[in-house]
Amino acid sequence: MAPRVAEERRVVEAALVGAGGAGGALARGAIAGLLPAFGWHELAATQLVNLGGTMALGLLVGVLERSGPRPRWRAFLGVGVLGSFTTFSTLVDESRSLASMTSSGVALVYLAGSLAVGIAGFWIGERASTLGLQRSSPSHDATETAR
Amino acid sequence: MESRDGMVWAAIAVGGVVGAWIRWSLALLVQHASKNRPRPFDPSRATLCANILGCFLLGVFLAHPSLLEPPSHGWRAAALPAFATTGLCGSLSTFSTLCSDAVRRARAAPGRGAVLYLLAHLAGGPLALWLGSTIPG
Repeated sequence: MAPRVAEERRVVEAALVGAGGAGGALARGAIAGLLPAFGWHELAATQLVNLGGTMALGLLVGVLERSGPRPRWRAFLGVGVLGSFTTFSTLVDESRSLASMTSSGVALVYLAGSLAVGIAGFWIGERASTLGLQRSSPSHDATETAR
Repeated sequence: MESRDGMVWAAIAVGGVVGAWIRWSLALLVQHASKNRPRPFDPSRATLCANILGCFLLGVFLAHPSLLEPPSHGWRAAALPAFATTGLCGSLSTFSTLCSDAVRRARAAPGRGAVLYLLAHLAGGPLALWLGSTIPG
């Protein structure tokens, strides 16, 4: 019985990862296609996608930390939507173009700087999730006492 | 660039599904390989593999556009490139999980873990992209 349940859970998670992956890729494709039409540089579009997605993941991780593990939400939003929405390969390819336009030093600083900004963004998202929960903590305490 | 019609959007979505599945499968594989080990592998290794693989494949696809020519007349010229680059490689590689892995590593063991992880991406990504572009096609 137990292996069967585990198997079914995995199938559901696979469907959620796939659906989220499609959504994340479509959203990234839409932003990458739209923003340059409004005069944005393609580098800026990738940065926006990566930073926004990473902050959102920080928020999700922070929320799941407190709510306890929710494998389905993690699979759909974390692995699927946000994992696909953000991209490393495009960032590396854009760094390569930057290297051919400027120098490899500039490209390397750009790539390292992107990682640093992303990590800061993740941390900010995580902090933001605690702020939201602190505000709502009275009702949280109430349910704890009620239990 | 031709405007994206339904077929191109569908191609991006399908590529997104496949890329996310491969990335998730790599995570499950690392988890499975850890089963009977006293110290489990760090799950961030799967993210690194997915990102390196994504860069390698992007290098292959960008250097060999002939691989992505429309297979028949009914296909939009942009459909297969959109599937392979924006869809598959974009979705297989991830930036958000990379950042969360680095933060988690830094917290688990303050010191080299997170720095080495980031350096592996900084060096491995461009190297894999270049390697992919050098294979004869």
